[in-house]
Amino acid sequence: MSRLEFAKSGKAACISHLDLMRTMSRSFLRAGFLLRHSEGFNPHASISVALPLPLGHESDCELMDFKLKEAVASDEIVVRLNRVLPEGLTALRVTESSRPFREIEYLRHRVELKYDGGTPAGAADTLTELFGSDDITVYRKTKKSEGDFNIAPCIKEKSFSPLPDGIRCEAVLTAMRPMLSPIYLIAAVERYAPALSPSFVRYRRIEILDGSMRRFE
Amino acid sequence: MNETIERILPRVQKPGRYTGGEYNSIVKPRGKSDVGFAFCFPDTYEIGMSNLGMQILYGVINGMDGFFCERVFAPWPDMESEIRRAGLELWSLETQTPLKDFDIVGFSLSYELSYTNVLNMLDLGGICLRSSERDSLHGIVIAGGTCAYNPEPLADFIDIFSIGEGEEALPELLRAYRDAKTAGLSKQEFLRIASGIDGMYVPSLYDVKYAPDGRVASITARSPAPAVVKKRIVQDLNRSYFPQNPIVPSTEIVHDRANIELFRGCIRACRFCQAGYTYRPVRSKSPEVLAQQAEAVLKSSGWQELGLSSLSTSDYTALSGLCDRLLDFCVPRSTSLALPSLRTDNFSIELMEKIQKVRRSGLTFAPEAGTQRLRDVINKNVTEEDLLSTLQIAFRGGWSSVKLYFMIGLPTETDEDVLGIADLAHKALKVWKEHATNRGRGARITVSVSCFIPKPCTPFQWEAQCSMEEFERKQALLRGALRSRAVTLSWHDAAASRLEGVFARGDRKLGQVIYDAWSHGAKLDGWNEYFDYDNWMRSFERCGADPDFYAARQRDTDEILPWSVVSCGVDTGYLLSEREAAYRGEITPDCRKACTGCGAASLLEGRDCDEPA
Repeated sequence: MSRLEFAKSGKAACISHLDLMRTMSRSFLRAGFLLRHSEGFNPHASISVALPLPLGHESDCELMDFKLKEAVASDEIVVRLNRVLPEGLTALRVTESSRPFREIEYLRHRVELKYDGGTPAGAADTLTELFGSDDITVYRKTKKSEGDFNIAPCIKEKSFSPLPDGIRCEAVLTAMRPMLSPIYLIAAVERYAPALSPSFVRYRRIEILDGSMRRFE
Repeated sequence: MNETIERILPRVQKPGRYTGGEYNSIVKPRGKSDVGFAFCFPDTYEIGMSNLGMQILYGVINGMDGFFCERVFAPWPDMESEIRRAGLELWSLETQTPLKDFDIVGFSLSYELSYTNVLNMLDLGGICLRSSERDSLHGIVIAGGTCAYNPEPLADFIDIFSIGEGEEALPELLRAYRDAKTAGLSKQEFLRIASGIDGMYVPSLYDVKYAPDGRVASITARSPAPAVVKKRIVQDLNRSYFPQNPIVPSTEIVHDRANIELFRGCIRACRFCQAGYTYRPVRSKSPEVLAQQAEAVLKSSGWQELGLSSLSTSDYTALSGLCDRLLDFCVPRSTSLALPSLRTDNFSIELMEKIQKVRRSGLTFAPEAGTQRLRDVINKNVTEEDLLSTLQIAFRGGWSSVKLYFMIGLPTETDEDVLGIADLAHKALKVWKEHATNRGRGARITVSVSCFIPKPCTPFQWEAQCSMEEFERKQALLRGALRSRAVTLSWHDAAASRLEGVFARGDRKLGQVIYDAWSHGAKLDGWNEYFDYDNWMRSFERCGADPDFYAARQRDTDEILPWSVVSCGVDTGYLLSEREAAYRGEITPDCRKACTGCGAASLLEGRDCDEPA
């Protein structure tokens, strides 16, 4: 099994997970690579993407496993894919990896909070204090349940720094057990520090980490 | 992408429709004097991007030096309100350029219920709606496509209609535009020049007078416009432009596949079918050209489905050999073939095996009418035996579901004909019971029933359309007659069909109704969730127009029809003789059995209709 690391940003942030799978299998074909297909009534390319990225979010570290019918050098896959990917998708590297996706533990996110009326005074400090608490309860909805949920235990690291027109937050959040979407950081801001509610937010995944906080590849 | 748009995207459904950036989309470096063409499709991205014609013209224009073409689609209402709230103007996907900044804005008109979307897109794009309100050469609004065979309902809004196939006509018009722009001509001067280009209809150069009863009394062309505008065709399809590098949407569209076009025109002469007359004469591509284009388009797009498109795919003479060649390439790539337009009278086991080689797609057939008598009236020329033996092949081959298309409200139809649809569906089910190899999965016969709409340029262009009440009564009759749970009935909305019937054969007076309905919120009329019939009826009332005058009135054969100003190449006398044959229940043989002299062959230069591929 080969593993592609790719970035998804700009216009490609608007490609949904299902559409991404289709786009990827088409891109492989365009690059002249034949993916192995499942058997059966409706054969489809056997590819799988770790941790589907929410629509509209960007990422520097998406992972996708795939199998080619014939072996091709990793570098060549990257070069040829980049010639045929739509705007905003970039192949970064291809590795042979045996580590299963379930060993992923954390994701490092960059969240940019933009303020149209200028960044409120002391915002970075207020946010640092807010996220220092061990009880940050927000309303959370998942496929299985919905209700109040304390996100504090899911936040492994966080830092806040000022930008010209806002605040940049870098945070390491749990990725699997449970998966905490960075949108809940903003939900917490809106609940506990409504004055700091941003006019617009940009989300970007920076890094995938394992349980020892090392880069997962 | 500018930040205002970026901020809107997370708030709308399917934001990928509005961003562009798809593979093979073209952002051309612009010279100062380059002419910009906005290709507008008056429906959503998913529908517009499924249109092969759009891919063709996009490639043709972007292949011309000094011109660039960008795409614009109708936004969904959530996006429309964001655009209006933010004070933006509808933009092109390629460069986010507002519609009003293009030299030429061109609409592709596929069906009548998209007319309000044309107005809405112009308005959202910062362009005045009425042609008479636009003085400048900049921002000329043109339109083409199937609906241009009756351009009159949109005559108030469109400066130039391009009648027929656009591959050669549109570049000619664009070059004339560039010359006019360079020479500093006025819009009026350019329109007169455009009216001299074959296939171009400039409505403002025609005076239409009406009799007191509302019928057209006269249509007078003002010099230099021709009295009748004859459609343009491509002479040699083998050498005409084919989009080998089509745009591949990154988000799912309706027909998400590569397409090759086997032939244009149709050898059949189904009397209800507008495309069957307006796409004549029959011109095929050679299997060599098709195989080469198929390979190229699959390689360049990565699509894993290849549509073999035409009006009647099983009538392509070299189909079997072509499929074999295509499969040699497709099977190793897990790419399947889709043959959307099959007939029941020439479907074979052999063909069935080919189309399910990679993955099995649905099977759809169109008997169109429930009894042989009525099928003869409409010249469908398929028999019950054809259909049932085809279904036997399919069910034996492992298919368990099939879709059957019918129409109700056809000329001379009786209740017996309507009930014949149910009868045929039950017979189909019986065939399944006797021949299914895969009983465990159960049968699924979908009967899809649309409402007949008399269309211009067909033998039925003089007929009255069924009233809405009558359509609904026939639908109820059919519903009552279908007893099996294995048969699913779906039908078209009678109200929408009536409105489509009004605009299909409408005149210029309907321009104000369209405007009024749009200004009262009508848009996306082709979508059930937005179609508001009562709103439309209020507009007709306000404008003093009677929908029945257009839909439910049988025309005299000597009446001046609003669309008589354009010609698809088929003689009106021929249409009349076909109409009479319909009333006698006489069939007309297909063009391969005998040429019946429709007149369309005169469009060809130095070649014959339906020359061997």
